[in-house]
Amino acid sequence: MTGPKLANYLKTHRKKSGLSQREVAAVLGFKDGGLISRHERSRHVPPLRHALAYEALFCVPVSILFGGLHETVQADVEAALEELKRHLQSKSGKGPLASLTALKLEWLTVRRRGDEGLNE
Amino acid sequence: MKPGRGPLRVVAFDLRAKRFGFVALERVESAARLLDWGIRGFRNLRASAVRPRIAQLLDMYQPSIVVLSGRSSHRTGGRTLRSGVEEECAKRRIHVRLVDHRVVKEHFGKDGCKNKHDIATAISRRFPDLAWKLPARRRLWQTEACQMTIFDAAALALAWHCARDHG
Repeated sequence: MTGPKLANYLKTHRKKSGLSQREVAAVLGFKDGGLISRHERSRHVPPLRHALAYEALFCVPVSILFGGLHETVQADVEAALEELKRHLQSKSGKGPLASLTALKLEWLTVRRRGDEGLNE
Repeated sequence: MKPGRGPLRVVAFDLRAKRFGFVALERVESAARLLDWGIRGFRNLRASAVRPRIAQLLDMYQPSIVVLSGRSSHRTGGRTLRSGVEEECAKRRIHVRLVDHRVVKEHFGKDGCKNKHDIATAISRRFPDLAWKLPARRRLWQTEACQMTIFDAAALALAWHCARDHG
């Protein structure tokens, strides 16, 4: 009965802080609270600068503030990396290119191990 | 990355004659955290007046479960409102659970809560973000503070969580 994470948790953290949308807008240098509302309702994905500003304001990492979006992006990257790994494994080369391919495959394995270690 | 279990999101509504209170909770493993809370007013008792406001919240929080009070009276139009909420939930394939006020009383009675104010105080201790919304203890001649509807919605959600955990 569980579901995916919300696209963002901006409203949760804002309400926890007791700040109004207008106050957050003033702190982040926006004209009014309209943009904050659009970000909270996921009508508009904030650019990196604004996302980092939210992180600095609420002292919560961007990956947690935008939990659902982070999960989606992560799943997309993992799928693309699997595809890349399959492509590299299918390559048969000799010389410096072969060793470069081996290096990439090794990095992919080490990366996966590190990722699992972080999630345990 | 190992795929983790997603959170269980619950939205509880306390429907009144001219307003409703709501809380949105998210539960990961055993810890419930408060996502949002508030009061929405409406002018008349027709379900059509309430439905857009309910729909907005359901679309925003996409809950797995909606908790409503099992008690509703014809006099205040509670059943009309409840059927409106139930129809909005059915459209989105969201499960609706009704919690009887006796279940709420039993759940909070274990902590020594004897009345609604005690229950609201216990909730504000559990969720300190709500503490500033806690109204002063009501005197006999006073009407109930409108923010009490938020605490009633939170009580429904917590009682449902507890009943679910203990079968």
